[in-house]
Amino acid sequence: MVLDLYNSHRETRDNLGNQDENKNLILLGPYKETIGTELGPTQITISNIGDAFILGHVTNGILGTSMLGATNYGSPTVVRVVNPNNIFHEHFRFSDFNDTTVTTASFSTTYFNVSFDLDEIFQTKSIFYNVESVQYVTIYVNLTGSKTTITVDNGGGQLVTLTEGT
Amino acid sequence: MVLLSDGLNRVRDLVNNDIFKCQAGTGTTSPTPADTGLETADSNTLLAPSKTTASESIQVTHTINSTIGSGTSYSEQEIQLNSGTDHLNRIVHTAITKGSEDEFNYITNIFFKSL
Repeated sequence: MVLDLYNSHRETRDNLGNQDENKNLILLGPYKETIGTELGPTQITISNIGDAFILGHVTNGILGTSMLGATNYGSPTVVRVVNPNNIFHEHFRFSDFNDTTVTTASFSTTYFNVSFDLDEIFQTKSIFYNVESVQYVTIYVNLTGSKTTITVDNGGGQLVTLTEGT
Repeated sequence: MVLLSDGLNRVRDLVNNDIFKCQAGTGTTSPTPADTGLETADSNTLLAPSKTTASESIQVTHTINSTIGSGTSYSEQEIQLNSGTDHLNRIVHTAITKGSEDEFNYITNIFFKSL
């Protein structure tokens, strides 16, 4: 029987079951399937202990000289920022590098971005503070609204790239 | 198919739990991926860091308080994993001499992301 079908050169088809509806599906990319670990910047800060009482300290560990709960314990000062491979990448996971004294745009550690309204500013703190100088900057932006104007202060003459999309 | 933030955060937690201690030193040789630790470690600075997690990221803060290393010019630092057997990173920076009234903080961010 099978040999007869073969010799007759007729097609055979399985009509049992449902039609395969997956055969024409096309998988569109890009899909990201690689887990990467990225070492970010390291900030080095120094705080001056002032007159604060520090147990075990050679000069600040003397009661009557140093003060418990001293208020002149200094706030941390950034003295170095070290970037692996000399690349700083702002992921918006932490706000350490957001200069809140200047920034008026919305820095979001929830949405991992900074969003601007008209005339708003985003400024970072020092992101290179070792021996490197900044060579170029790449900014990824999503543009919304009828018109968006972006001004980048590149007073240092660095190349600035604006890329739309994420 | 896409890597989920939930999965990346699981990887983050595995690494976070494996972070052991941090250490600073005085070595100045540029870091390479083949390094297996600091060039010239100061064992007084081998301390457990404080760690903060955010989505797909960890922030590690290594504090060297004012009673440690006065007069030492620190120029390198590392994060150790697996009870100190392995090392996650080594950074080298221009030296900073630590005064007796100085408290140092090395604050490092680590990110986990889909590529």
